[in-house]
Amino acid sequence: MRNPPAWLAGVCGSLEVSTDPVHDSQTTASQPPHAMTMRELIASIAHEVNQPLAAIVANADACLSWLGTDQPDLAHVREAAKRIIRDGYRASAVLSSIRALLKTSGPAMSELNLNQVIRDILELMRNELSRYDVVLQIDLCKQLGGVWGNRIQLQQVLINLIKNAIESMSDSVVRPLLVRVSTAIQGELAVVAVEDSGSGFDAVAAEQMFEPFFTTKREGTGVGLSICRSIVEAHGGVLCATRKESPGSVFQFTVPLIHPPISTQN
Amino acid sequence: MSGGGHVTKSAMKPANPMVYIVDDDAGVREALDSLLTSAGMGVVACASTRDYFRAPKPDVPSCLILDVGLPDGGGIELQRQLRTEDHPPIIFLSGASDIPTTVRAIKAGAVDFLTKPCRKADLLAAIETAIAQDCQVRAERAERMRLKHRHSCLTPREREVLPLVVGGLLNKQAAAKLGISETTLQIHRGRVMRKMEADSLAQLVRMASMLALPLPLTKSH
Repeated sequence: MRNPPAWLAGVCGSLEVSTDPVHDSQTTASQPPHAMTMRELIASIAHEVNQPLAAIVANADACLSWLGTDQPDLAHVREAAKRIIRDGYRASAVLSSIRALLKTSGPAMSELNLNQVIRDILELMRNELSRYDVVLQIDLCKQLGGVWGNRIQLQQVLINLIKNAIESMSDSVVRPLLVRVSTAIQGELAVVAVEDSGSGFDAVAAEQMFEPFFTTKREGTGVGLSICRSIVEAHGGVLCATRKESPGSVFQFTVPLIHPPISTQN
Repeated sequence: MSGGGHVTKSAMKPANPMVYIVDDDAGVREALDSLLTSAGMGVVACASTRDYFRAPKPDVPSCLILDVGLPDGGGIELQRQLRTEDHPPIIFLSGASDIPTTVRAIKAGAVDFLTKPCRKADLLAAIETAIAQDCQVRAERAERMRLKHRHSCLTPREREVLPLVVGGLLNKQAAAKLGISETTLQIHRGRVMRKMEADSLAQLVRMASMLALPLPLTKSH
């Protein structure tokens, strides 16, 4: 595999810095817990950019090929040229989402729009979701106000929960494979929920899944959820998991709202 | 995505070789479809291995262009599934080729392993090789069908005689084995040669090997 381009190294650096406090709390981990996620993210970005580039090259070749005949079929040429434009924008959109990641690098906390954080991550994971034939439902609460948080860390939590959701359904024969990401207001808290239609988890897993190194996955390291919990707790929130009535599970975390709505109950 | 693959108009011409593209990226799929169609090939573009299995398969020389990182199992997995049945030669396309995957794919019989974006010349050359390979495989398959048909026209006795003859037994030995006279065996043997349309014993031996007929265990002296 080729080395990642320089601009990706920047993403790496900032992420490493940003997760350091979390890493320090996991002194027993032999490997930085974010390393795997980062590698996967880079592979995913490389793939996301390479696909439109491959399409652009093939479309341009097709253009030349259609033009090379005695009586060029201009309709085909036009279609191929349009696809080149579309794929160019597609590659650019991927880079924009990386730039959004970079913008708020550093461990500093800032006022965040959780809905936007979620939308950025889902854009990055779009390919991953369709790769596994997952139908994504997004249900974001429009009234959700800002929260105080570290964008990169919260994105890591989201990536982790969504990847877990996808993986929990990898053996499922039931279609559609459903991942639902939603936000809601609960008192003074913003609630983010990631639901899947997988097989759920058993009682043993329910007790231990937030423990470091607990995993039910063949290639899991078992640090993902424990890191997620540390991050959420560092934000003053709670991460918990519940089984659904219908097959599947819900992972949800809370983050305090900066300006909680005036409570109607209480 | 619609099931069964998308068949372009040129795919209807039976004389054209047929290229099946299996790639989950719609942009790549459309681009390759246009490129190969412009090169005069019939193209069936599939979004998944499921679509590929559902796609109609016209009886023409063809090849399969597979994305390595496909959903529902991946290209390498599809290659494994296909190993048990007649399938067109495979060309792999990959975003970033890693050596172990490439080696595994080629060892499992892939014609070529190209990295995206790939050069048109490389792609067309790989397709040409794959189509030529498929033509040969198809010719052999057709020959085997003909031989099977001829073999099915033999009488039960002639079917007993055939393996003994090609197994290198002398007429006398073969006759003894079946408990018939040498003259009778010779008559059967002549009929076998005629019905199988074999001009020589050597040719009959080659036919038996193509049909994978079980040969008698001849004791070595």
